[in-house]
Amino acid sequence: MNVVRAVKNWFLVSRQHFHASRAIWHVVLVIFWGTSLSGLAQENATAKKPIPKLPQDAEHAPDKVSRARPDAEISEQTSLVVAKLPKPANTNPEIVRRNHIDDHLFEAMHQNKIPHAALSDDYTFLRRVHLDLTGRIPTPDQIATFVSNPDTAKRDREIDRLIASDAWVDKWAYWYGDLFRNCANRIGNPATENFDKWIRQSLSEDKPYNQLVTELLTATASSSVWMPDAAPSAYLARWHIPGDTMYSDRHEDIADEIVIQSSKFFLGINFQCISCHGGAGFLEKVDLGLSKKKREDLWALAAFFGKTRVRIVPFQDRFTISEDGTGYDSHSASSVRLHRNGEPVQPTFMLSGEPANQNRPLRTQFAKMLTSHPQFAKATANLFWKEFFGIGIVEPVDGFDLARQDPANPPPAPWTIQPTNPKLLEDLGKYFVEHGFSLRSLMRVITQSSAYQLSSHFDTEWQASYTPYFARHYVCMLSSEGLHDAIVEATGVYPDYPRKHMLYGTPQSPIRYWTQAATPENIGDGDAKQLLRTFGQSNREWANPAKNGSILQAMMMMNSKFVTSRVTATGGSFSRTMLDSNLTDDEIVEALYLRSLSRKPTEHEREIARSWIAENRQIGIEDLQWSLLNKLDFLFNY
Amino acid sequence: MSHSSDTRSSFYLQRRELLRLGGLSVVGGSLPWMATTRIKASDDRLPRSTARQVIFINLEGGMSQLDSLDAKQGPWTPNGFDIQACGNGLMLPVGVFPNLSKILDKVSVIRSMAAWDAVHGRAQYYIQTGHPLNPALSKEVPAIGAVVCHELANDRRTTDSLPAYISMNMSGNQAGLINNGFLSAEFGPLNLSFDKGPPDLAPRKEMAETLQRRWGRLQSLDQGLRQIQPGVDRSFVDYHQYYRGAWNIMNDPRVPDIFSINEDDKTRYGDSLIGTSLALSRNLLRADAGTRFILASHGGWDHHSDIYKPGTRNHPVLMSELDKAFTSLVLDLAALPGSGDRSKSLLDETLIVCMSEFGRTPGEISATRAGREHYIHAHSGMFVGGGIVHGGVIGQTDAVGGKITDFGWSPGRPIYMEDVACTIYSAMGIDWTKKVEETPSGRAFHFVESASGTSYVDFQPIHELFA
Repeated sequence: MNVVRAVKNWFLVSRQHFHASRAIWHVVLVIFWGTSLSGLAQENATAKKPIPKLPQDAEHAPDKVSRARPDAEISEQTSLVVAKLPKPANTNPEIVRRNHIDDHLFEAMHQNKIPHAALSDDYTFLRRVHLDLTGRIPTPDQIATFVSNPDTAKRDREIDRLIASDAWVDKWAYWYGDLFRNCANRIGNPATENFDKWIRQSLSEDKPYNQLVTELLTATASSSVWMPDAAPSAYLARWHIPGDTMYSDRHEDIADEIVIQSSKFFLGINFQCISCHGGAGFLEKVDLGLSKKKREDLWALAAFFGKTRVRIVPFQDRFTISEDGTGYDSHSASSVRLHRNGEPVQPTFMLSGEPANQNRPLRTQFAKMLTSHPQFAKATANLFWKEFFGIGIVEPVDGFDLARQDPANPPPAPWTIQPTNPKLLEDLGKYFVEHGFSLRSLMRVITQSSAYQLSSHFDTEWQASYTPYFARHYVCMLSSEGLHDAIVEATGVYPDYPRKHMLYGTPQSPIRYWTQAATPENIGDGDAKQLLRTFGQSNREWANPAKNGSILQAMMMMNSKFVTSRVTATGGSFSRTMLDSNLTDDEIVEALYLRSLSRKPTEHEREIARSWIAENRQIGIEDLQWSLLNKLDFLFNY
Repeated sequence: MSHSSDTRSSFYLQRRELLRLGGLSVVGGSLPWMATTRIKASDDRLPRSTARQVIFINLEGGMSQLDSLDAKQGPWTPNGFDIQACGNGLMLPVGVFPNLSKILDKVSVIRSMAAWDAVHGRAQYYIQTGHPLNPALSKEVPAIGAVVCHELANDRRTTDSLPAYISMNMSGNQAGLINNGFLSAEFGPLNLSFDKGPPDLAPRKEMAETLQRRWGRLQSLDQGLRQIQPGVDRSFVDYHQYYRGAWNIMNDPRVPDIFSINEDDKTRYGDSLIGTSLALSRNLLRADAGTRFILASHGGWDHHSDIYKPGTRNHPVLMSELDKAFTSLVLDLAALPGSGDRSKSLLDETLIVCMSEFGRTPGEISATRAGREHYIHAHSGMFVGGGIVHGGVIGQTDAVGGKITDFGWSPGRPIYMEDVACTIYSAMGIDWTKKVEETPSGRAFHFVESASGTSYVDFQPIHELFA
């Protein structure tokens, strides 16, 4: 029986490792399950309704842990939000299959007789694609130009334009800052800013992603990290783990951490479990692939960083990264997990079993093996798929089970193939490789698909079981920074945050949009910080961004100074512009709707809002601006 | 990280770890030898029901026991601490606790507390939930405050607009704020986080009318859209529920007063975050608008370096902040009539717990950094009101505040957070031996779990604390 074996295994492991004076293996959780910790802090509530359990739902321990399935959650949320949006005119479900994404998805729906939503209208598409690609809502001018444009290829052209814009760089640089947790508290302001600058530069030149990742994994910082050419080294230094004091470094822990995090980001695989114990006896019901792996397999992977030395100089914002170590010691103490007490390991890439050539730079070989493995392209495609479709083809995006990917080689029952559409994922990965690992190309092909452009409305009765087919578009709350930027864009009251650049000190243009911030810790006034925090901003130290509702968020939108001061018809606010304009009441209503919600008002809305303005022009305008910011269609990308 | 060389305690931790490893991979309590060993006379298990609400002051980061509630004079002691005997063997730095030392007749101090975890994230999780962190269950384990509010749900009146559980500035620690777990979201904390002064929950007076009008207009604009759909349960994904809850709070006529703190309060409670938090806590309980559990964070105690360095927000500064805020809270609550029983004081009805997730390394400060590291083998806490004995002192440590020499209570072992949880539940009239079988994982949730890796520890309320 599994349980018995697990207990036995634990005691064996324990006996082996607990002769050491300190039993601190469990400290692992602070850093390594930091995600789950912060997750539990932020995931306000999980759905209380019993939801059918799938094996892949288990997060750490065997078969008994369930959590709300992402597809059930997003299906329910979409139904609830969409019920509160105006109904679109177009309900014609005929669509054109525009690329291989459509071929795969619509073919699957067709074969399984799953109905799907109609194509979204121009207004909805434009708002969605602006938010998804650039994190900002479209301006009224952009909307007018787009909607009136008769060009049948205008959606593709708009996508091209957005992908080439500075706003695209801002959004994704900030996104990477969150993903990699580029945190000034960890590595100091200069390194954080350098890294941010480097990411922005890499994105704006569409640096091939395999090259970008290689630069991250092979970075060094010789004498001082203040040198801009050491910029990518912040990625590695950020995962530094001290030894007994803040002045020492635990090299094996750092190597473990770097490969664990990098595998999550770039391979979609979470090796946390086997960093403490082998998979056998533990993971048979959690992760079939990992259940066959040993702790030593992870060490062999970490051994690529065995000679790497990350040394942090506390309180000086400095660190060095060099390659002067002696190799991975598989008999070494740990600050964060069970002490290592095993046979020596040779650097070996776990996914392929390929050993390293000890005479050549190890990290270069690691980067090569990682980025040339098909899993790299698939995991990256899946990671970005989730950003545009709300849920991954594999969920969670860092939970690929390698034993459950190949439809030609299915896992034993009750396991199933993990991707909801394996062929699609396969082809997306290939597409990414064939297009030179260009993130822009990947995002282009995703957003150009009719599947991405489906409406979130569903004309017939929606079934949660349709969710994995992507039969409608799923709604998503705006990110905290996205909401900040949407509020300032809608109201026309742009902030003027000074761009504190510790390193260069040269005056630069102040920050208008939050995603322009290199180090979010250092910008924004109290009101803005409060807004961001309340809406789930990542602190980049241990918390990932969160998107959960709360009472405080509602209060913030109704009553915070950040919102109410921008609604007032004073200064340069859009309310003021409307008040001073010669527009008719009706035109004002329409202008406000376009600017805040990126759509025209319904007849009902138009009539009501007009009456407010007729009653008292200023109060009416301000109230309408306030109401629009408090409508669900403002808070959600739908 | 622990820097202890206390081998006995280390062994203790190891044994606990061994057991926890087992607990992690098997269904808790499913093995006979792990079954609870709690066998007691039934009247022993009756909750005391001496308190109606709780204020838990969470000294995040770890207060140095030997500089504060268990003060030890040594070469490290800064000038001005003025450590004095304060009765019952209690030694306090009167110089930084000038106010606290005057209300000791109301307060009980425990100096024999110990923790399991020497790292903030886990230790904070532990004191917020009363459970050691088990990653397999962490998403479903509710905070103590959520359990209390769940148990008190039937007490809730239609006039109660404020959430039962309110926390303040709890987002800064590595565990974050622990929520409702598998319990319904309504029992989770509303976390108020503010930099200065209380948050603006109530509309400013001049805005009240505007907000009323706007709310009405928003409803009409959304006509037919903001209705709760029949059949749709109160799921957390429904944003409208949050608007409704927010609206109820903002329109409660008591709220403007609750969230305003006058100049006199500022002076007495101190112009600090904890000062504001505790003045706000007093207002919340005085208004009796539904709040029954308050978790107030006092952050910044993690002084690995420069623990006494002048001109910084060092330990003495934090102690002074706590001194003012805590004393004013106790005195104010003592002067206010109770909400449940007007013949009692509000303090009589309110259990106040003030403690850290762990202590700090005893004796001399570190030579390299002039600070103190994390320490799990001895720390101190304060308990006041809600049936707590007046002027009690429990436990003693050695000359440097590092080793407990007298546990000071009947079980003859250190006092753990599980015991504090039992104490809180008992004071609130809650049977701490309860368990809930219906959880998402299918594993029973024990309010206090003696089999959570420590089946040998018979956790129990600290009876010696009660009058």
